[in-house]
Amino acid sequence: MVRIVAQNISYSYPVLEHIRSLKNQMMRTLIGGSIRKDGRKTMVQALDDVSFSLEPGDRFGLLGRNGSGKTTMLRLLAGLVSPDTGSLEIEGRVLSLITRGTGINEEMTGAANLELPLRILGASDAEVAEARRRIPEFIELGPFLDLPVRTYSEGMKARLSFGISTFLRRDIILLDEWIATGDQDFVAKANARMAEMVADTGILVVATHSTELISTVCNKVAIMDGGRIRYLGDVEGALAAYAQDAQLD
Amino acid sequence: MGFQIIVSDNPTTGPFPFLSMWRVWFIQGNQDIQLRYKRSVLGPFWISASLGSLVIGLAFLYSEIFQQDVREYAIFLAGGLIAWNYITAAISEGATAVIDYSIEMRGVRMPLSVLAGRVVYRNMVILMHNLPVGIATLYLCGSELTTRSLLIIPGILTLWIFGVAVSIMLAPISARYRDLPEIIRSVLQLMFFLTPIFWLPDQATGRRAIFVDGNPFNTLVDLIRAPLIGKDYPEHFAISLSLTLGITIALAVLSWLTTRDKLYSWL
Repeated sequence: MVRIVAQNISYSYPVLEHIRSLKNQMMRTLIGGSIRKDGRKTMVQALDDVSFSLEPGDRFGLLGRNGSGKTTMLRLLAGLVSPDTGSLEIEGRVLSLITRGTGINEEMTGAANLELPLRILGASDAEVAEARRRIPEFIELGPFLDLPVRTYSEGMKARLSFGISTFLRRDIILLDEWIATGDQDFVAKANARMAEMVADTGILVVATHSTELISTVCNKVAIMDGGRIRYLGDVEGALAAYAQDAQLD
Repeated sequence: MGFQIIVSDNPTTGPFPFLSMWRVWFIQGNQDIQLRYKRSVLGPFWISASLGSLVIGLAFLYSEIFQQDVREYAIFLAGGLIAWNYITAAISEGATAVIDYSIEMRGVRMPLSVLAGRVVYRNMVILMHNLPVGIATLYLCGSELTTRSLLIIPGILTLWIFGVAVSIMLAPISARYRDLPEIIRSVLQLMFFLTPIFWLPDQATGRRAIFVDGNPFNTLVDLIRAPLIGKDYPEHFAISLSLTLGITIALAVLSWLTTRDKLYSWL
């Protein structure tokens, strides 16, 4: 059974640099999250009493402005940090695509760069062997595959990273923004691959600013603000609530 | 209450990531070596060449200064330098592992033991390039390997464990207090001169014998040097080694337990 159940989770972290001299109100507008002083340390309350539950088939969109807690939520789901309070249960294998290109070394050739990123994401021997066959034919870099990545154009680098990121199939996928790819002729192929990947996935969680993405991909949305979920529900309601916010701003 | 991840068959969330994710540190370590010596004629054998020239040059001068037989002194020096190069790199690079690889830690689960594994494995490869220089020195100076020399193997394994432990101990704290790596480098430099590597253990007499008998670095060096040069381990070696390893591992566990929840916010 693949599922995610978050109950009343809160998470805060200290800011180590000296930003205490700035007024709280000013920091609020800069960082977005709420900041509280905890003794001598300045703490950012990145998540505040967040609850939701996801089932197989859910395409969960986290909508909100910078610093509202979207990426922090993904980090918790990826197991990079644990909540201070509340409980978080994740059942199923998680593929964390919060940052892309992890493990790609620009001094090495494209071909030599296939294995490490996949191993970091937890790929098995069989998956790596299959990736060596299938990724090169998908990303169509031809002879460039045997040249160092630093010689690639940005579009070619994006293809390599996209091909690696979207190769593995897992129960739960975490995305920070949709994976966009550089050059024009690759976009159609990339979009088809993303659709296929999403279809093969039990639960997708995507953090985004884009209401367009929410309406095309998601079936469940949380609007986040200052570390709290302000709206949780279906796409229609979310888009209405978000549009209202934009007017108020 | 709490945090629970229920997964099966996932190498990145298993209980012993050092073992289940061994390919990650293995590939990373190999890439580090490859990139360091890419486009050079000798490749990683530059490591061997530079140690070789150091031993020849220093043995020639210091055997005279210390009034030692040049052959015996050269062997002693080679053994000490091989071990010291590894120990100092494992500690100083191990301490900066979290700082150096924080970008990778931001987006994917990258356990401390895997970071430590990368640093230690890379320096083990360097050690393996240095060891033949020690053996060559041995034969050039009219000595030879014996069955006792096989003790180098458990010595290397022990240094491997020490390296992983010391990195897990220092890397998180160094990420929090960024001046710690500088302090560590200074201490290592001082210890290089306070440990019998250039000078012989029996030259420190009286109260100064503490730099030999009470010096954990000397114990670590002798893990390789003593079997290589065909000498017995010094007196109380087992006790000294157990203490050094035991304390390092205990501090590593303590460091890991106290920093794991906060580490992410220190990146």
